[in-house]
Parts: sequence; C-alpha cells; structure tokens
Amino acid sequence: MSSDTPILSIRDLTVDFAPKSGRLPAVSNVSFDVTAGEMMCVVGESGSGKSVTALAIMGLLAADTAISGNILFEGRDITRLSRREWQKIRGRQIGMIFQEPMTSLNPVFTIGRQLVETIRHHERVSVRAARDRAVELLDMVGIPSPRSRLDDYPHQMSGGMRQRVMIAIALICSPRLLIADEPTTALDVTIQGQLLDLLNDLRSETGTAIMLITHNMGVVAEVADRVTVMYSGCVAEQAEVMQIFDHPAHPYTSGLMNCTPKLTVTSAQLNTIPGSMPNPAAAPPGCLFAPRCELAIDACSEGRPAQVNLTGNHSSACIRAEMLLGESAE
Amino acid sequence: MIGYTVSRLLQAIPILFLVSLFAFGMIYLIPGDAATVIGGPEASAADLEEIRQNMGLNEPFYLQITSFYTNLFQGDLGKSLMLGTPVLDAIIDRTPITLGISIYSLSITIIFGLVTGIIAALNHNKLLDQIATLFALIGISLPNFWLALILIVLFSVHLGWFPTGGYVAFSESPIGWLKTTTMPAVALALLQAGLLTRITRSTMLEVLSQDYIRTARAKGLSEWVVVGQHALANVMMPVVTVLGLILSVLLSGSIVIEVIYNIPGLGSLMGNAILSRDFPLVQGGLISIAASLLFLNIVVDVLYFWLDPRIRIKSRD
Ligand SMILES: Nc1ncnc2c1ncn2[C@@H]1O[C@H](COP(=O)(O)OP(=O)(O)OP(=O)(O)O)[C@@H](O)[C@H]1O
Ligand SMILES: [Mg+2]
Repeated sequence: MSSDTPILSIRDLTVDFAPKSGRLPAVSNVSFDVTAGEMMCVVGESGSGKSVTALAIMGLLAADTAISGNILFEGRDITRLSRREWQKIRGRQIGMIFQEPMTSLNPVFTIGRQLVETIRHHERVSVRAARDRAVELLDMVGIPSPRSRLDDYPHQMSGGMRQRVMIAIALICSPRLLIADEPTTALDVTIQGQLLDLLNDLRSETGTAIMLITHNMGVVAEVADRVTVMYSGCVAEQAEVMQIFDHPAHPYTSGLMNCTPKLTVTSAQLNTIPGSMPNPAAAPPGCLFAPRCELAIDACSEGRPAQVNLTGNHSSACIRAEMLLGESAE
Repeated sequence: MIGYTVSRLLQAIPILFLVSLFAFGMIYLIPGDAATVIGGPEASAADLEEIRQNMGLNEPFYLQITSFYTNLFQGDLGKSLMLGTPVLDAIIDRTPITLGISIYSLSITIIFGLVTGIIAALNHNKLLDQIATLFALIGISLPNFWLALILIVLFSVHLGWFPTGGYVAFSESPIGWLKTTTMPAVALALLQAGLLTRITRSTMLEVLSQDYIRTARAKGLSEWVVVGQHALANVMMPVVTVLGLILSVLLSGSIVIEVIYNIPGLGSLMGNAILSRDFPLVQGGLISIAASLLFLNIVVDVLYFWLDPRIRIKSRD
C-alpha cells in the first residue's frame, strides 16, 4: 500500500448524544484521513470531542447514540457493521489506548491474564505460547523483568507501567491503526516523554499508523506528521505539522500554540485563550470560536464557516484564513 | 490468608463472650421473678421454689455466673425444661434440618438473584429490566409468612404438588426431602432474592460503565467474555458482602417458616422454646445461632478477601 492511501477515512462524522434537545452535537461534520504509517495528531481543548471521535471509530459508543456520516477503514464503511464484525476489527486491526491508565485495566485479573486472553482470542495458540508472547510484548514496551510481572495485578503497578501494559495489549495483533487517546495526560512529564518515544519507535518499526489525541502542542511539534485541530466538536484546521506551526490558518490554532508552556518561560507568563468553549445548549449562530476570537469581524457571526482548502492538504474553517496566511507569509 | 482468617476468628471471641453474657443475663433482665415467668400463672409456691432450686437461682450471683461459664466451656448448655433432654443434644439434632433448608434456600436466592439482576442490567430500562425490577420489588415487599401460606394454598391445597407440611430426611428419601423442603426454601428465598436482584442489577450497571469494560471490548473480546468474565468477577465482590446479611435474615426467617410448615428444625425448636418459656433452651439456642452466624460471616469475609486481589496482596507484602 502506498504511503498516502488513507487506511482510515472519516467523512462528515456527527455524534449526537441528545439529538432532540437542540444542543450542539458532541462531534459535528468531522472529516479527516489517517494514511498508513503516519502519526496523525488530533488536538483541541478539553471537551472538543476528541475522545468521542475515537470511540466512534472503535464502535464503543453506547448503542443509543445517534451517529451519522461514514468511517471507512481500509475502504470499508465500518459504521454499519454488526457486533460480530466489529469484534474482528477491534483489537486485531485497530488498537486503542485510553486516556485513563489507572482504571483501564481490570482490577481483579492479573496483567498476564489480560494479555493472554487477548492473544488467545485472536490467535490459536497454547497458553504457554501466549504467555511467552506476553513476555515479549511487555519487554518491547519497556517493562523490566517482564516474566515476573505477569502475575501482578494492576494495582501493583504505577500509572506509567499500566499505560505500557495497555500499549502492549493494543499491539498484540500488530494493528494497522493505533488510536492513542491522550496516553500520557495522566502521567508525569518524564514518563510522558518516554511513552511518546516508545510510540514513535513502534511506529517506525511496525509501520502502524497512529492517531494520537492530545491537547499539548508541544507533543504535536515533537511527533506529528499531520495535525487535525478540533474545536467544539468541529474540525478547525488540518495541515502538515510544519505548515501548522509556520503558517497557522485558524486563530484557534495560534491560540493553542501560544498557550503551550515552553521550558524557557516561567509559569507566570503562561498564556491562555480567554473565554471558554460555547455552552452546547446555547451555541452562537456563526463561527463557534468567534466570541473568543481577537480577529472576529461581523461576518464571523453569520453562519457556520465551511472548510476552505488552502494549499495542498492544508484546510481551515476560518473565513479569514487567506488573510491569516498572507500575514504570516510576510 | 491464614493470618487473616486467624485474626477474624480471634475477633469473634469478644463478640461471643458478649452474646453469652447477654444469654446469661436474660433471666435477670426479664421483669419480675424468672421462676414465676417460667412456672406460669398456675404454679404454686412450692413449684416456684423447685424451679429456683433446679435453675440455681437461689445461689449467689458470682456462683451462678461461674458455673454458667464452666458448663459452657464444657459444652454443657443445661437441660431443656420442655424436652427434659440436654439442650446441646436438642440443638445438634435439629441443626442439620435447618442447615439443609437454609443452603437450599440460599442456592435459590443466589441463582435467582444473580440471574435476574444480570438480565435486568443488560436490558437497562427495557421491558425485561422493568419486569425484573417489579419482581424484585414484590419479593422485597411480601412478608415471607404470607407467601408461605399462599404457596400452601396454591401448590398443596389446589394443585396438590407438595404436602402442606412435615419433613422427610434426605437420607430417607431425597424426593421426599425435596417435596417437603421446596416450598419453605422458596418462601424463605424470595425476599433475599429480591434484595440480591437489586444489588446485582445496580452493581452490574456500575461495573458495565467502568473503563476496564470498555478496554475489554476494545480488545475485541466477545460480549459473553466481557460480561460473563470481566464484569461478573467485579460484581461478585459486593454480592459476597451481602451474603453475610442474607444468611442472618435466612436464619431468623426460618423460625416462622418452620413453624408454618411444621418442620422440626432449629427454628421451630426456638419458637417453641420461647412460647413455653424454656429458658435454658432459649439461652443455648441464642448462643449457638450467634456462634454459627459469626462463623458464616467469617467465611464470607475470607471469601471476599480471597476474591479481591487489592486486599489479598496488600496483606501478603
Ligand atoms: N457518553 C456521553 N454522553 C453525553 N455527552 C458526552 C458523552 N461523552 C462525551 N460527551 C460530551 O461530548 C463532548 C466531547 O467530549 P470528549 O470526551 O470527546 O472531549 P475530549 O476532547 O476528549 O476532552 P478531554 O481532553 O477532556 O478528554 C463533551 O461536551 C462531553 O460532555
Ligand atoms: Mg478525551
């Protein structure tokens, strides 16, 4: 498969938890691609719909959630799959690492059991072979003396260790796509770095495409190939990582970059984007970011802005995108 | 694990002591004169004096209490006034009957409670959930003596499937045992089963919303494994904790049920002992029922300890 064929293609994904309430959907009209072997970062503030998008891809949202749009995985629309067909994709072709390492492992089963059951669910191997495989995987994700760890329970491990176990579980079938939902947010900074390096190494070794969800532009700068910026359930901007840092075409993206803590800046100088995301029950009529935007003009509150294609695969949902690009080019 | 069991057993000692002290003090706690209460209104002064003499009520207090405890430690709970046999023998004779029915009833409770609770949770807010919740509510609200009578009217009088009462030992005829114990066991189980259904349902709902269940699904496991293994293993812990409570309710419920179904178990023995003011038998029954409840609760605690690795391993380190 050539490197720019998308393995995951999302078109107009809308996820609404309360369709009749008139509230803003948690995710609306989101479209993006993940191509084979790339690291695609999804960024956005808390509540912007990143996790909901990921769960929709995994088919893990509650059955009564209203989902529309298409999710094409290797060309096949997986939104209409039966439960059985989903089970063949989950864990085998798409792996997922969750935001909450402390609670994502079953507290009453050993680490070994949780790995072995998954291995044996997907491959016909003996328990002994599965345990050997589990040791290999734990070793690969950097857990010291992995064999002795097999009989540990999750509570005997630190958050970082648990997240490594989660990564090991997600890697069992060498999935084509790995969704990592803020895998490091709950962990301290040194562990964050180690885990990101681990994910990056795994990607170059196995060729697994990674959709990395984060709200940290520093992480994006370090590992991303491409970036999708989400705001209030919508895509604000999409671009290659270099484009987004050099020529951001959405004021929200610039805002996110300004509030990323840099090591050279003291915490007192930390910037924030003033205001907060719109209340889903009373969303403004125009651009959802307009009330917080310094560059907003009258036209911004007239109708939701559409995605505008700028150069190559750079797109933005800001009506002033061209102007922003012109400015940064000068 | 062994250390934990031993420490729980040691903790039971002061409790047993308090219970025995209460059993001993019962004679002093009843208003008026114990001998008059025992002898009843028709007893003559000579009769009363004889009762006092037999029960040692004329002895000084410290002698009474020391002889009570000396006898207790030797396994001598005194002689039943009503039966004329040693209290301990009477209790040992009747215990297997009550134990058999209790275990039968407990099995019905657990199977029914777990199954309906899980079905209700899996069909949250759907028709099956509402039916199960309704049944649980009925089970909790019906007094078990009333249910016992209804069962007799329905299944014995009208349908003739079961005898109205009596008891056949399992060793004599297993079928006979089943025929005589099924209705009492069901009547006893219903309340607890309703309780367990509700607890299982709410625990299951909570467990199903946990992150590790989402992980299990994300691994591609089948719903059967997700619910039957990952969720159930976590549901079992809260359920096991209420088992102790359920057992206590079962044992106290057995008094009424055994009287209604005319079953010669510990429950009806205690019922008769109370009615005929057989103090030694009531004392002995109180102590042995308390001891067995304590023991069962320790078993439940140890089981819980063994089920939850978070507690088990902390104590090992
Ligand atoms: N199960 C649900 N039912 C109803 N609303 C939900 C549900 N899950 C998420 N939401 C709502 O959807 C919106 C997006 O949530 P989401 O979890 O995707 O945010 P996020 O971008 O992952 O944020 P964070 O960085 O905090 O993880 C939020 O407003 C949230 O309240
Ligand atoms: Mg999230």
